[in-house]
Amino acid sequence: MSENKVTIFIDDVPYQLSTDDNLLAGVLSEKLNLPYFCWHPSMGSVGACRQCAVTQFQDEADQRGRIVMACITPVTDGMRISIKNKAASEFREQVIAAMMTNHPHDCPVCAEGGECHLQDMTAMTGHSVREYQGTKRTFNNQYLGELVGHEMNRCITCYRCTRFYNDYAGGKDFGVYGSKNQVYFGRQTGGALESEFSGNLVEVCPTGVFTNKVFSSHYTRKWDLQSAPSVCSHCSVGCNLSIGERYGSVRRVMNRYNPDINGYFLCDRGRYGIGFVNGEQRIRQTNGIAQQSPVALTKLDVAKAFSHFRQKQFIGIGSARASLEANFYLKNIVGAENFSPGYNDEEMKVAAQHTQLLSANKPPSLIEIEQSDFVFIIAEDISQTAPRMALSVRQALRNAANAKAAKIGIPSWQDSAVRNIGGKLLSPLFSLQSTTTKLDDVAEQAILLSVTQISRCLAVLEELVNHGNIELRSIENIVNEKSLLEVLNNLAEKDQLTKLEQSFIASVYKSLRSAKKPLFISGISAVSAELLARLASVMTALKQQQEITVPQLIIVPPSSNSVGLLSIVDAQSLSIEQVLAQLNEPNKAYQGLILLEQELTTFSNTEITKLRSLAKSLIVLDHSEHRLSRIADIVLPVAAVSEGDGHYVNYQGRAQKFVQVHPPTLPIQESWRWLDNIADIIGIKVVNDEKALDEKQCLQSVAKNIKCQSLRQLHQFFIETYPQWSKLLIESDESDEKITARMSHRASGRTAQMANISVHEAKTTQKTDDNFSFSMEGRSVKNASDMPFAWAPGWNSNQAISQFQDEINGQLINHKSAVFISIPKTITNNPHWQLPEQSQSSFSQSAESGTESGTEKITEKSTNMPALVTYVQQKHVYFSDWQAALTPEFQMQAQSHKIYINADIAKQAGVQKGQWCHVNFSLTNKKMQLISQSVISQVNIVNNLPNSLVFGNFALCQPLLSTVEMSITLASEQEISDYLVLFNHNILQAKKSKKAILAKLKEQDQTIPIRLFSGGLNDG
Amino acid sequence: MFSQFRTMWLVLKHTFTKADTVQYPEEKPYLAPRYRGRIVLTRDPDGEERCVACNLCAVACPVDCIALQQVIDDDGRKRADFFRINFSRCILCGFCEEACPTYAIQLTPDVELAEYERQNLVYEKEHLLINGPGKYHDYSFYQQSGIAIAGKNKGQAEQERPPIDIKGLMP
Repeated sequence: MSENKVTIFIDDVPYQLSTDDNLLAGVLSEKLNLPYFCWHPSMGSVGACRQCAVTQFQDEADQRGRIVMACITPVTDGMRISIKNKAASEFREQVIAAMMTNHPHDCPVCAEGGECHLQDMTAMTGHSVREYQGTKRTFNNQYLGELVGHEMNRCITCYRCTRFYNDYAGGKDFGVYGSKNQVYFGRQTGGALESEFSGNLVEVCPTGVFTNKVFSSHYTRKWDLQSAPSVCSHCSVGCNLSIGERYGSVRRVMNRYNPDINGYFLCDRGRYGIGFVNGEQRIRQTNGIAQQSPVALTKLDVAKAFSHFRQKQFIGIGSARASLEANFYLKNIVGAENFSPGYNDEEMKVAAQHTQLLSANKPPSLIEIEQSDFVFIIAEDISQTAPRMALSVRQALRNAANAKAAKIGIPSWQDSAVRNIGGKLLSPLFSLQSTTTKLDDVAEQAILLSVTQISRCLAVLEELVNHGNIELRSIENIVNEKSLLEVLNNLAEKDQLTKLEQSFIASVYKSLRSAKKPLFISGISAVSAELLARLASVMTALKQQQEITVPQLIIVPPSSNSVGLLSIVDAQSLSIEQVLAQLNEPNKAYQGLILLEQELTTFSNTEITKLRSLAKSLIVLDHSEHRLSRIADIVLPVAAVSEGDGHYVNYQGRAQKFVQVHPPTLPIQESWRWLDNIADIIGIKVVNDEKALDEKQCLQSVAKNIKCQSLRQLHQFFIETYPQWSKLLIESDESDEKITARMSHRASGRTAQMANISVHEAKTTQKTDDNFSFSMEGRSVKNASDMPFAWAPGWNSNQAISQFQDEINGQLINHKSAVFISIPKTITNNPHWQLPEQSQSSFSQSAESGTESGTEKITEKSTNMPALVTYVQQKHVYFSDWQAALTPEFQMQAQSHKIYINADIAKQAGVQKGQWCHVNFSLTNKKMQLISQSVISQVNIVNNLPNSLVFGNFALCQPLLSTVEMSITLASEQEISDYLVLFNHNILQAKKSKKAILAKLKEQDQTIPIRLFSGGLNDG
Repeated sequence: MFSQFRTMWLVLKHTFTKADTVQYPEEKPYLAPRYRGRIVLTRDPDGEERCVACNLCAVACPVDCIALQQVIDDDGRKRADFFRINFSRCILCGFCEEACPTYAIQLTPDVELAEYERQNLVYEKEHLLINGPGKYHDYSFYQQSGIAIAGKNKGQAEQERPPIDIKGLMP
């Protein structure tokens, strides 16, 4: 971006500014103070607030100049402007003064106070006395759900909220109403905001109209928060967060700028999902360990409890939400042949395919997504499973409009102009899904198919790519749609594609040919290895030809550390079916299971019971209660993401460190510390590499002399013992030597917050070789590569970040280069996880399950006959992640059951949209058992849904996720009322839970644990 | 030379003036109402707590001896769940009073703060809260503020117009 620099004079001082951005961005890049409201670094300029006025002079001789708005003025060579000029600064002050005529006297009770952009800008302009004596305009507020509070009186009508919510994030249920002094930003009627990015309104709004409701209910000022750079633990994108803590409890999450990933925005799951840390399900005590001293649990207690496990063999199940360190440590404690990632057979196959795809195609970062001009999303609802990525895809679609505007000389930062010119022009987005998604509204074409049918479509696309080389070489042929369709028709015949699917593939192919930066996005929520294998062969086909630019590929895994777990899984790793089989084997004397932050979602209750009966001892390490922790012999409470250090690896393979925000109350400690405590007892098996593993020497325990008091020591230990451990991680540890403060320089209450416990103040908590201190002492955040929070003199809001970027939207001044870990492909060496050799015939074989092909007519069946369908569960931004779903605010916004069927099925069953129905799914499995499940749910009709596909927002048990019989009948009054009573009860329960959490937090505020040292147990 | 004589004269003159020293504690000196002594939390004219737990006193405090936590009551008022001043650290500088936007925290002329136990100098909200408005009799923050509380809706504060009807068609 910074290539085209010119010299301009600001108050007669020469500066080098980029001509690619506007004058305001240039001025801010030079760290000069110029107030603004409506401009946003990633939303561009509209020139609505008139706040960034500067004086522009004609030439050196010009003394008078004229006032221009910096945000809508391009940077030109040799231009002379003045910020300090009296006319401009008076103008800016008058604009603020006018805004202030109606601004209420709310600062003391406003959650934005202390980090308010309006406060900062008012101070910056020097406006200090309100001269207006008249009355103030007022508004009534709206209820906007449990996440965002609304206080419309404070509005200064900068339009940022609607520009973000509607224009940038594609929201539909928010708008601006009224005119002149009566402009109102809100919904048509009160109700929860539907967008999964609503939380960004809190940061986007320059004042306190939109506030974080969850934070407000247990509020503290920004200057009092103890923050640390962290990483989101709720999906695989790995957005950077700044988590804030006060009085020993986590208060809120704010965006932490990372130009490659999240930029300035987060999704609501990331922002509010942190609620699980304070949740009622939190495990705070050990279970199954006798504590000797009444004061605290000691390492000796743990050693005693584990003493009868000495040298006994365990199976360890890791997880995709535990840190990289914990998973790696577990694997090495139990030995590679006894390690399982907690995946079932099908998921293991998917993992094998995923590793291959990852190593063959380097996934782009979110900023690179935003540069794509063609997006094809296959069988993954990224708007719910990786919402921040969906937001980037939305921005990518604007590239067509940007290009159109650029042709007539309008730069992309001219937001309203570009939107005017672009109109509804969007870059092509094709979506091949099993459920409707929130990106469908911007898709050029979106069709709904079952996963097997999607695979077939990909197969045709692959052949088309291959054929394209031979038959469609001349340009006329490509343009001539008829011939394309003809070729397609021939190809499709053997794969039984409908006309709709054919034309879809044809348009994908045509757009793909003209794309310069194409992008494919798929995911593993469909849990289909065939699909990924098909995708891999499409990619191979694309790489073998020259006509089409090879697209970038993203595979979206579900969890924050899925890819990290993939890097640990090898050929010997077990699936959970194999774990059960191993436990059952009499000649293998397993002592039991160690479950590392693993709740085994895919297991049914009977399988859980079976697991319990097979495992002699069950050791669970987790932060929140689940089915397994309730039946475990030993439960070890582990730290949540805010309470420990570690690394997560995002969908790209980017390893990102999350830093402890505050020391947890013992005995809660990080998983790797617990594993460190028991490693000596159970014994570490050195796993050097695959070959060496067979040799006996590697199975011997190594005496571990060092105590891993910190992440750095742990890495050191890993690197000494296991050569395969990434050296990159330890380098990233060492790049930063000096200490940065977790608290702001104006944190308050230091000598009073614990005075009720003891008036003698405790020393601040120490932490050996960590780069962050639990106090106000440390170098300024500016010099840190990972900034715990953003603050600069005069810039108290999160928009202070412009003071730390080398240029607007650029890298941070002291950024560290990203660490990408390598994903070994050893898992693919295991024949279990390989797919049967793929051939063209594989798809003709699958014709046996012809009911899924969508061609069969169900209408021929009599009305009472159940339909054969595949049920797909719709993903949900709040509930698809187990951790985030524990947040009571999310549970309070749970939706009642909904089932989506097509009009044919509805007609047969005699149901209409909105009616409550009794839906029964049943299946006779191979053992001739009838598995069935009935659900009361509300009917919705989706027109382009194939007959064989239904989807809904409720979960079905695992075996029913294949082709099942479905019958729909109208539910009786009694059934509906029973269901609704239960549904409302659950919401009420969530409300109660929220109240209980608040009460507990209030109690905790006054009993802050004194930790002299933030290590693990025995740290005093 | 002159200044030296002047100085001696001034010193000698003081020999004949009445001593300021009083026989404390039998006799107590006059302390003006604005004297900076023990800190109290006051109530507004309606008898409700004035403190809205905005944290400004805490951040102004140079010795960081004020700690508090805000809660929102069912009536919409914000108040301190706990409010603690560690008087063993307090230097009675009065910055907290100066920072307070609601006249809640005020310093009183009571300076008798001696204790044998340091722990007894930790004052909680129940020790700090008094039953009157202190030095400022009429001020009620919520009558100035734009937020709605029970008994005062939008547009009912001083200098406010009634809420705008957003569905109205008038320009």
